Amino acid sequence: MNSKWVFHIGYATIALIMPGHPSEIISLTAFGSSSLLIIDIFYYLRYKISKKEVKMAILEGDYLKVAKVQEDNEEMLLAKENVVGVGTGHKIKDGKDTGEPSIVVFVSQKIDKALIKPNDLIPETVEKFKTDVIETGEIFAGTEGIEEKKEEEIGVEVLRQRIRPAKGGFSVGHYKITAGTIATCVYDLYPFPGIPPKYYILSNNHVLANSNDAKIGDPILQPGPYDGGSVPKDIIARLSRFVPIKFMKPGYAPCNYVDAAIAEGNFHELDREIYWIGYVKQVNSRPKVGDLVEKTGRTTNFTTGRIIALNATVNVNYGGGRVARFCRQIMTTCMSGPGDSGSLVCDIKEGAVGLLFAGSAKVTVINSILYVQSLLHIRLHP
Amino acid sequence: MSIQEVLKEIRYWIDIEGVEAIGEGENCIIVFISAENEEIRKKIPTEYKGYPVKIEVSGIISTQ
Repeated sequence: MNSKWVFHIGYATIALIMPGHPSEIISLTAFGSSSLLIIDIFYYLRYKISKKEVKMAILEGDYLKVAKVQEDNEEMLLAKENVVGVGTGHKIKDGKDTGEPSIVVFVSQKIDKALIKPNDLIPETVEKFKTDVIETGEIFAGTEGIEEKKEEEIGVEVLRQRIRPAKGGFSVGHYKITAGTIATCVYDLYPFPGIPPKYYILSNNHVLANSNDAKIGDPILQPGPYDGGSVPKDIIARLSRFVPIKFMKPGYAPCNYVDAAIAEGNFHELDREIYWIGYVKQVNSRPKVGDLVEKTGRTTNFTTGRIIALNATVNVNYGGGRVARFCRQIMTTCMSGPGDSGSLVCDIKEGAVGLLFAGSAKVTVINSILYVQSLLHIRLHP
Repeated sequence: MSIQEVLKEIRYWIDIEGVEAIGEGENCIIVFISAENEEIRKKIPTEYKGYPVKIEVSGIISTQ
Protein backbone atom coordinates (compact mmCIF):
# COMPACT_ATOMS: atom_id res chain seq x y z
CA MET A 1 0.00 0.00 0.00
CA ASN A 2 1.33 3.37 -0.85
CA SER A 3 1.65 6.08 1.70
CA LYS A 4 -0.82 8.92 1.45
CA TRP A 5 0.47 12.42 1.03
CA VAL A 6 -0.67 15.99 1.29
CA PHE A 7 0.40 19.22 -0.28
CA HIS A 8 1.47 22.19 1.72
CA ILE A 9 0.49 25.62 0.62
CA GLY A 10 2.24 28.87 1.27
CA TYR A 11 4.94 29.10 -1.39
CA ALA A 12 2.63 30.56 -4.00
CA THR A 13 1.69 33.38 -1.69
CA ILE A 14 5.31 34.11 -0.89
CA ALA A 15 6.10 34.31 -4.58
CA LEU A 16 3.46 36.99 -4.93
CA ILE A 17 4.72 39.14 -2.09
CA MET A 18 8.37 39.07 -3.17
CA PRO A 19 8.19 39.49 -6.94
CA GLY A 20 11.39 41.50 -7.11
CA HIS A 21 13.64 38.86 -5.63
CA PRO A 22 13.57 35.81 -7.83
CA SER A 23 17.07 34.60 -6.96
CA GLU A 24 16.40 34.82 -3.27
CA ILE A 25 13.12 33.01 -3.67
CA ILE A 26 14.93 30.23 -5.46
CA SER A 27 17.56 29.98 -2.76
CA LEU A 28 14.78 29.70 -0.22
CA THR A 29 13.88 26.32 -1.62
CA ALA A 30 17.24 25.00 -0.50
CA PHE A 31 15.71 24.79 2.93
CA GLY A 32 13.84 21.77 1.65
CA SER A 33 10.37 21.02 2.96
CA SER A 34 7.55 23.42 3.48
CA SER A 35 8.44 24.60 6.94
CA LEU A 36 6.84 28.00 7.20
CA LEU A 37 8.84 28.69 10.32
CA ILE A 38 12.10 28.46 8.39
CA ILE A 39 10.66 30.73 5.74
CA ASP A 40 9.69 33.25 8.41
CA ILE A 41 13.20 33.34 9.83
CA PHE A 42 14.73 33.52 6.40
CA TYR A 43 12.68 36.51 5.37
CA TYR A 44 13.19 38.23 8.67
CA LEU A 45 16.98 37.93 8.40
CA ARG A 46 17.16 38.68 4.71
CA TYR A 47 14.61 41.44 4.24
CA LYS A 48 13.93 42.61 7.77
CA ILE A 49 10.31 41.73 7.27
CA SER A 50 8.82 40.82 10.60
CA LYS A 51 7.54 37.35 11.22
CA LYS A 52 4.10 38.84 11.78
CA GLU A 53 4.20 40.59 8.39
CA VAL A 54 5.21 37.38 6.72
CA LYS A 55 2.49 35.46 8.49
CA MET A 56 -0.06 38.07 7.54
CA ALA A 57 0.97 37.84 3.93
CA ILE A 58 0.89 34.08 4.06
CA LEU A 59 -2.49 34.01 5.69
CA GLU A 60 -4.24 36.29 3.23
CA GLY A 61 -6.45 35.14 0.44
CA ASP A 62 -8.97 32.43 -0.30
CA TYR A 63 -6.21 29.89 -0.84
CA LEU A 64 -5.35 30.02 2.81
CA LYS A 65 -8.98 29.64 3.80
CA VAL A 66 -9.14 26.58 1.58
CA ALA A 67 -5.87 25.34 3.04
CA LYS A 68 -7.25 25.68 6.55
CA VAL A 69 -10.38 23.76 5.61
CA GLN A 70 -8.18 21.21 3.86
CA GLU A 71 -6.06 20.80 6.97
CA ASP A 72 -9.13 20.41 9.19
CA ASN A 73 -10.62 17.78 6.91
CA GLU A 74 -7.53 16.00 5.64
CA GLU A 75 -7.85 13.04 7.95
CA MET A 76 -11.49 12.51 7.00
CA LEU A 77 -10.69 12.64 3.26
CA LEU A 78 -7.56 10.49 3.41
CA ALA A 79 -9.48 7.83 5.34
CA LYS A 80 -11.68 7.23 2.30
CA GLU A 81 -10.86 4.27 0.15
CA ASN A 82 -9.07 5.11 -3.08
CA VAL A 83 -7.94 8.57 -1.88
CA VAL A 84 -4.16 8.93 -2.17
CA GLY A 85 -3.73 12.62 -1.54
CA VAL A 86 -5.33 15.95 -0.72
CA GLY A 87 -4.26 19.38 -1.87
CA THR A 88 -5.32 22.92 -2.59
CA GLY A 89 -5.89 24.02 -6.15
CA HIS A 90 -8.45 25.20 -8.63
CA LYS A 91 -11.74 23.64 -9.59
CA ILE A 92 -11.37 22.14 -13.06
CA LYS A 93 -14.60 21.95 -15.03
CA ASP A 94 -14.86 20.32 -18.47
CA GLY A 95 -11.08 20.29 -18.61
CA LYS A 96 -10.82 24.04 -18.00
CA ASP A 97 -9.34 25.77 -14.98
CA THR A 98 -12.16 27.84 -13.44
CA GLY A 99 -9.75 29.74 -11.19
CA GLU A 100 -11.98 28.96 -8.21
CA PRO A 101 -9.94 27.83 -5.17
CA SER A 102 -10.97 24.34 -4.20
CA ILE A 103 -9.92 21.28 -2.26
CA VAL A 104 -8.29 18.85 -4.65
CA VAL A 105 -8.72 15.19 -3.80
CA PHE A 106 -6.39 12.76 -5.55
CA VAL A 107 -7.66 9.24 -6.13
CA SER A 108 -5.80 6.26 -7.48
CA GLN A 109 -8.59 5.79 -10.01
CA LYS A 110 -11.98 7.29 -10.72
CA ILE A 111 -14.70 4.76 -10.11
CA ASP A 112 -18.41 4.89 -10.91
CA LYS A 113 -20.23 6.36 -7.90
CA ALA A 114 -22.56 3.37 -7.83
CA LEU A 115 -19.60 1.15 -6.97
CA ILE A 116 -18.41 3.24 -4.02
CA LYS A 117 -19.64 2.77 -0.48
CA PRO A 118 -21.57 5.85 0.71
CA ASN A 119 -18.94 6.57 3.38
CA ASP A 120 -16.19 6.57 0.77
CA LEU A 121 -17.83 9.05 -1.61
CA ILE A 122 -16.02 12.38 -1.92
CA PRO A 123 -18.38 15.18 -0.85
CA GLU A 124 -19.04 17.82 -3.50
CA THR A 125 -18.22 20.56 -1.00
CA VAL A 126 -16.32 20.70 2.26
CA GLU A 127 -17.23 23.64 4.49
CA LYS A 128 -18.53 25.64 1.48
CA PHE A 129 -15.48 25.00 -0.72
CA LYS A 130 -15.94 22.80 -3.77
CA THR A 131 -13.89 19.66 -4.16
CA ASP A 132 -12.17 18.57 -7.33
CA VAL A 133 -11.33 14.90 -7.82
CA ILE A 134 -8.22 14.08 -9.85
CA GLU A 135 -7.17 10.61 -10.88
CA THR A 136 -3.43 10.09 -10.36
CA GLY A 137 -2.95 6.33 -10.59
CA GLU A 138 -1.00 4.55 -7.89
CA ILE A 139 2.13 6.32 -6.69
CA PHE A 140 4.32 4.41 -4.31
CA ALA A 141 7.03 5.89 -2.15
CA GLY A 142 8.74 2.87 -0.75
CA THR A 143 10.40 -0.37 -1.68
CA GLU A 144 9.04 -3.44 -3.35
CA GLY A 145 10.45 -6.93 -3.12
CA ILE A 146 14.04 -7.65 -3.88
CA GLU A 147 14.53 -7.90 -7.63
CA GLU A 148 17.45 -9.28 -9.56
CA LYS A 149 19.85 -6.65 -10.77
CA LYS A 150 19.42 -5.88 -14.44
CA GLU A 151 22.49 -6.41 -16.55
CA GLU A 152 22.76 -4.00 -19.41
CA GLU A 153 25.21 -3.73 -22.25
CA ILE A 154 26.56 -0.27 -22.38
CA GLY A 155 28.38 1.03 -25.41
CA VAL A 156 31.35 3.35 -25.22
CA GLU A 157 30.21 6.83 -26.10
CA VAL A 158 30.33 10.42 -24.91
CA LEU A 159 28.02 12.12 -22.37
CA ARG A 160 29.32 9.87 -19.62
CA GLN A 161 31.54 12.32 -17.86
CA ARG A 162 30.79 14.12 -14.62
CA ILE A 163 29.08 17.44 -15.20
CA ARG A 164 27.82 20.10 -12.83
CA PRO A 165 25.22 21.40 -13.11
CA ALA A 166 23.88 18.09 -14.42
CA LYS A 167 22.06 18.34 -17.75
CA GLY A 168 19.66 16.28 -19.77
CA GLY A 169 21.37 13.71 -21.98
CA PHE A 170 24.16 12.87 -19.52
CA SER A 171 24.85 9.63 -17.66
CA VAL A 172 23.09 8.98 -14.36
CA GLY A 173 22.10 6.01 -12.24
CA HIS A 174 21.06 4.56 -8.91
CA TYR A 175 24.18 3.41 -7.08
CA LYS A 176 23.33 -0.26 -7.71
CA ILE A 177 22.74 -0.07 -11.48
CA THR A 178 24.97 0.48 -14.52
CA ALA A 179 23.95 3.74 -16.19
CA GLY A 180 21.05 5.48 -17.85
CA THR A 181 20.30 9.00 -19.00
CA ILE A 182 18.99 12.19 -17.39
CA ALA A 183 15.82 13.28 -19.23
CA THR A 184 15.89 16.83 -17.91
CA CYS A 185 15.41 18.53 -14.57
CA VAL A 186 11.90 19.14 -13.30
CA TYR A 187 9.93 20.54 -10.37
CA ASP A 188 6.73 19.86 -8.45
CA LEU A 189 3.43 20.32 -10.25
CA TYR A 190 2.17 22.59 -7.47
CA PRO A 191 2.26 25.33 -6.41
CA PHE A 192 1.99 26.83 -9.87
CA PRO A 193 2.68 29.60 -10.39
CA GLY A 194 4.79 29.78 -7.30
CA ILE A 195 7.94 28.59 -5.65
CA PRO A 196 8.56 24.90 -6.24
CA PRO A 197 9.51 23.22 -2.97
CA LYS A 198 11.96 20.84 -4.65
CA TYR A 199 13.85 20.25 -7.86
CA TYR A 200 14.52 16.86 -9.38
CA ILE A 201 16.29 14.82 -12.00
CA LEU A 202 13.83 12.91 -14.18
CA SER A 203 14.64 9.49 -15.59
CA ASN A 204 13.28 5.94 -15.54
CA ASN A 205 12.38 3.77 -12.56
CA HIS A 206 14.90 1.20 -13.81
CA VAL A 207 17.58 3.91 -13.88
CA LEU A 208 16.90 5.80 -10.64
CA ALA A 209 15.00 3.19 -8.61
CA ASN A 210 16.68 -0.02 -9.78
CA SER A 211 13.41 -1.47 -11.14
CA ASN A 212 11.58 -1.08 -7.79
CA ASP A 213 14.54 -2.40 -5.79
CA ALA A 214 15.47 0.87 -4.12
CA LYS A 215 14.69 2.94 -1.06
CA ILE A 216 13.55 6.52 -1.03
CA GLY A 217 16.67 8.56 -0.27
CA ASP A 218 19.06 6.19 -2.04
CA PRO A 219 22.01 7.98 -3.66
CA ILE A 220 21.83 8.75 -7.36
CA LEU A 221 25.17 9.13 -9.11
CA GLN A 222 26.20 11.34 -12.00
CA PRO A 223 27.83 9.83 -13.94
CA GLY A 224 26.21 6.44 -13.37
CA PRO A 225 28.28 3.69 -11.72
CA TYR A 226 29.22 2.06 -15.04
CA ASP A 227 30.71 5.36 -16.16
CA GLY A 228 32.82 5.71 -13.03
CA GLY A 229 30.38 7.40 -10.68
CA SER A 230 30.93 6.49 -7.04
CA VAL A 231 29.58 7.22 -3.57
CA PRO A 232 29.97 9.80 -2.10
CA LYS A 233 31.85 12.04 -4.52
CA ASP A 234 29.43 11.76 -7.45
CA ILE A 235 26.10 11.87 -5.61
CA ILE A 236 23.94 14.33 -7.52
CA ALA A 237 20.54 13.58 -5.99
CA ARG A 238 18.52 11.27 -3.75
CA LEU A 239 15.69 9.04 -4.95
CA SER A 240 12.48 10.88 -4.24
CA ARG A 241 9.53 9.17 -5.98
CA PHE A 242 8.97 6.39 -8.46
CA VAL A 243 6.04 4.73 -10.11
CA PRO A 244 6.44 1.02 -9.35
CA ILE A 245 6.60 -1.37 -12.25
CA LYS A 246 4.04 -4.17 -12.10
CA PHE A 247 5.58 -7.27 -13.58
CA MET A 248 3.61 -9.99 -15.31
CA LYS A 249 2.90 -13.29 -13.61
CA PRO A 250 1.00 -16.29 -14.93
CA GLY A 251 -2.60 -15.12 -15.35
CA TYR A 252 -1.70 -11.57 -14.35
CA ALA A 253 -0.76 -8.93 -16.91
CA PRO A 254 -1.51 -5.46 -15.54
CA CYS A 255 -0.98 -2.36 -17.67
CA ASN A 256 1.88 -0.07 -16.72
CA TYR A 257 1.91 3.39 -18.20
CA VAL A 258 5.33 4.71 -17.25
CA ASP A 259 8.76 3.55 -16.19
CA ALA A 260 9.59 6.77 -14.40
CA ALA A 261 11.21 8.17 -11.28
CA ILE A 262 12.59 11.40 -9.90
CA ALA A 263 15.50 12.17 -7.59
CA GLU A 264 15.78 15.38 -5.61
CA GLY A 265 18.91 17.45 -6.00
CA ASN A 266 20.21 20.90 -5.13
CA PHE A 267 18.90 23.58 -7.42
CA HIS A 268 22.34 24.96 -8.25
CA GLU A 269 23.54 21.51 -9.38
CA LEU A 270 20.66 20.87 -11.78
CA ASP A 271 20.07 22.32 -15.24
CA ARG A 272 16.97 21.91 -17.38
CA GLU A 273 18.97 22.18 -20.59
CA ILE A 274 19.32 19.04 -22.68
CA TYR A 275 22.64 18.64 -24.45
CA TRP A 276 22.26 19.38 -28.17
CA ILE A 277 18.51 19.97 -27.86
CA GLY A 278 18.23 22.93 -25.55
CA TYR A 279 15.35 23.77 -23.24
CA VAL A 280 11.92 22.16 -23.41
CA LYS A 281 9.62 24.82 -24.84
CA GLN A 282 6.29 23.06 -24.49
CA VAL A 283 4.64 19.74 -23.80
CA ASN A 284 3.40 18.01 -26.93
CA SER A 285 0.17 16.37 -25.84
CA ARG A 286 -0.88 15.23 -29.32
CA PRO A 287 1.99 13.57 -31.13
CA LYS A 288 1.01 12.00 -34.44
CA VAL A 289 2.15 9.04 -36.45
CA GLY A 290 4.82 10.30 -38.84
CA ASP A 291 6.10 13.08 -36.54
CA LEU A 292 9.85 13.53 -36.36
CA VAL A 293 11.35 13.32 -32.88
CA GLU A 294 14.79 13.72 -31.34
CA LYS A 295 16.62 12.83 -28.18
CA THR A 296 20.04 13.02 -26.58
CA GLY A 297 21.11 9.96 -24.64
CA ARG A 298 24.21 8.73 -22.88
CA THR A 299 24.92 5.93 -25.37
CA THR A 300 23.84 6.96 -28.86
CA ASN A 301 24.15 10.74 -28.30
CA PHE A 302 21.84 12.95 -30.39
CA THR A 303 19.51 10.91 -32.60
CA THR A 304 16.27 11.37 -34.49
CA GLY A 305 13.38 9.06 -35.23
CA ARG A 306 9.87 8.99 -36.58
CA ILE A 307 6.76 7.99 -34.68
CA ILE A 308 5.43 4.75 -36.14
CA ALA A 309 2.70 3.80 -33.64
CA LEU A 310 0.59 5.37 -30.92
CA ASN A 311 -1.56 3.88 -28.20
CA ALA A 312 0.64 0.80 -28.25
CA THR A 313 0.53 -2.17 -25.89
CA VAL A 314 4.04 -3.55 -25.46
CA ASN A 315 5.58 -6.40 -23.49
CA VAL A 316 8.98 -5.25 -22.24
CA ASN A 317 11.76 -7.48 -20.94
CA TYR A 318 13.49 -6.37 -17.76
CA GLY A 319 16.04 -9.17 -17.56
CA GLY A 320 16.03 -12.07 -15.16
CA GLY A 321 12.87 -13.39 -16.81
CA ARG A 322 10.82 -10.39 -15.76
CA VAL A 323 8.40 -8.92 -18.29
CA ALA A 324 6.11 -5.94 -17.80
CA ARG A 325 3.22 -4.91 -20.02
CA PHE A 326 3.00 -1.24 -20.94
CA CYS A 327 -0.12 0.35 -22.42
CA ARG A 328 -0.67 3.61 -24.31
CA GLN A 329 2.94 3.81 -25.41
CA ILE A 330 4.49 5.67 -28.31
CA MET A 331 6.74 3.72 -30.68
CA THR A 332 9.33 5.18 -32.99
CA THR A 333 11.85 3.93 -35.46
CA CYS A 334 15.03 2.87 -33.69
CA MET A 335 16.73 5.89 -32.15
CA SER A 336 18.36 4.45 -29.02
CA GLY A 337 20.57 1.82 -27.45
CA PRO A 338 21.23 0.36 -23.98
CA GLY A 339 22.09 3.21 -21.59
CA ASP A 340 19.80 5.72 -23.34
CA SER A 341 16.95 4.88 -20.99
CA GLY A 342 15.59 7.98 -19.38
CA SER A 343 16.24 10.27 -22.35
CA LEU A 344 13.59 12.85 -23.05
CA VAL A 345 12.15 12.50 -26.54
CA CYS A 346 11.11 15.83 -28.04
CA ASP A 347 9.55 16.95 -31.28
CA ILE A 348 11.66 19.17 -33.51
CA LYS A 349 10.27 22.30 -31.86
CA GLU A 350 11.55 21.18 -28.45
CA GLY A 351 8.12 20.01 -27.34
CA ALA A 352 8.42 17.15 -24.85
CA VAL A 353 6.79 14.01 -26.23
CA GLY A 354 7.86 11.27 -23.85
CA LEU A 355 10.33 9.37 -21.76
CA LEU A 356 12.41 6.77 -23.58
CA PHE A 357 12.72 3.50 -21.68
CA ALA A 358 12.87 0.48 -23.97
CA GLY A 359 13.62 -0.66 -27.46
CA SER A 360 15.10 -3.19 -29.80
CA ALA A 361 17.28 -3.12 -32.88
CA LYS A 362 14.28 -1.85 -34.85
CA VAL A 363 12.11 0.24 -32.53
CA THR A 364 12.22 2.55 -29.52
CA VAL A 365 9.45 2.71 -26.93
CA ILE A 366 8.44 5.90 -25.14
CA ASN A 367 6.11 6.68 -22.24
CA SER A 368 3.74 9.56 -22.95
CA ILE A 369 5.01 12.66 -21.16
CA LEU A 370 1.46 13.43 -20.00
CA TYR A 371 1.40 10.22 -17.96
CA VAL A 372 4.89 10.89 -16.63
CA GLN A 373 3.94 14.36 -15.40
CA SER A 374 0.65 13.23 -13.96
CA LEU A 375 1.86 10.11 -12.16
CA LEU A 376 4.98 11.70 -10.71
CA HIS A 377 3.23 14.98 -10.07
CA ILE A 378 5.90 17.04 -11.76
CA ARG A 379 6.17 19.78 -14.32
CA LEU A 380 8.65 20.03 -17.18
CA HIS A 381 7.55 23.33 -18.58
CA PRO A 382 7.47 26.26 -18.10
CA MET B 1 -15.73 1.49 -34.81
CA SER B 2 -12.76 3.73 -34.00
CA ILE B 3 -9.23 2.38 -34.22
CA GLN B 4 -8.88 2.90 -30.46
CA GLU B 5 -11.88 0.65 -29.85
CA VAL B 6 -10.48 -1.91 -32.25
CA LEU B 7 -7.14 -1.84 -30.44
CA LYS B 8 -8.89 -2.57 -27.16
CA GLU B 9 -10.72 -5.46 -28.77
CA ILE B 10 -7.57 -7.02 -30.17
CA ARG B 11 -5.33 -6.38 -27.20
CA TYR B 12 -5.27 -10.12 -26.53
CA TRP B 13 -3.15 -10.55 -29.67
CA ILE B 14 -0.22 -9.49 -27.51
CA ASP B 15 -0.53 -12.85 -25.77
CA ILE B 16 0.30 -14.67 -29.00
CA GLU B 17 3.82 -16.01 -28.59
CA GLY B 18 6.23 -13.90 -30.62
CA VAL B 19 4.04 -10.79 -30.63
CA GLU B 20 5.94 -7.94 -28.94
CA ALA B 21 3.59 -5.01 -29.38
CA ILE B 22 0.37 -3.82 -31.00
CA GLY B 23 -0.29 -0.21 -31.87
CA GLU B 24 -2.08 2.35 -33.98
CA GLY B 25 -0.26 3.20 -37.19
CA GLU B 26 -1.38 5.63 -39.87
CA ASN B 27 -4.93 4.40 -40.53
CA CYS B 28 -3.83 0.87 -39.78
CA ILE B 29 -3.05 -1.54 -36.98
CA ILE B 30 0.61 -2.46 -36.55
CA VAL B 31 1.65 -5.72 -34.93
CA PHE B 32 5.32 -5.96 -33.95
CA ILE B 33 6.78 -9.44 -33.80
CA SER B 34 10.08 -10.67 -32.38
CA ALA B 35 11.17 -12.52 -35.53
CA GLU B 36 9.80 -13.54 -38.90
CA ASN B 37 7.42 -16.39 -38.25
CA GLU B 38 4.86 -17.87 -40.62
CA GLU B 39 2.84 -19.33 -37.74
CA ILE B 40 2.23 -15.87 -36.28
CA ARG B 41 1.28 -14.49 -39.68
CA LYS B 42 -1.33 -17.23 -40.01
CA LYS B 43 -2.88 -16.24 -36.67
CA ILE B 44 -3.16 -12.54 -37.46
CA PRO B 45 -5.60 -11.35 -40.15
CA THR B 46 -4.48 -8.89 -42.82
CA GLU B 47 -7.50 -6.74 -42.06
CA TYR B 48 -9.65 -6.35 -38.97
CA LYS B 49 -13.00 -4.50 -38.91
CA GLY B 50 -12.00 -2.37 -41.87
CA TYR B 51 -8.48 -1.54 -40.70
CA PRO B 52 -5.49 -2.99 -42.52
CA VAL B 53 -3.14 -4.94 -40.24
CA LYS B 54 0.59 -4.54 -40.89
CA ILE B 55 3.15 -6.86 -39.38
CA GLU B 56 6.59 -5.47 -38.58
CA VAL B 57 9.58 -7.39 -37.24
CA SER B 58 10.82 -5.43 -34.24
CA GLY B 59 13.00 -7.95 -32.47
CA ILE B 60 12.63 -8.55 -28.75
CA ILE B 61 11.93 -5.32 -26.86
CA SER B 62 13.91 -4.75 -23.68
CA THR B 63 14.66 -1.90 -21.32
CA GLN B 64 17.59 0.23 -22.35
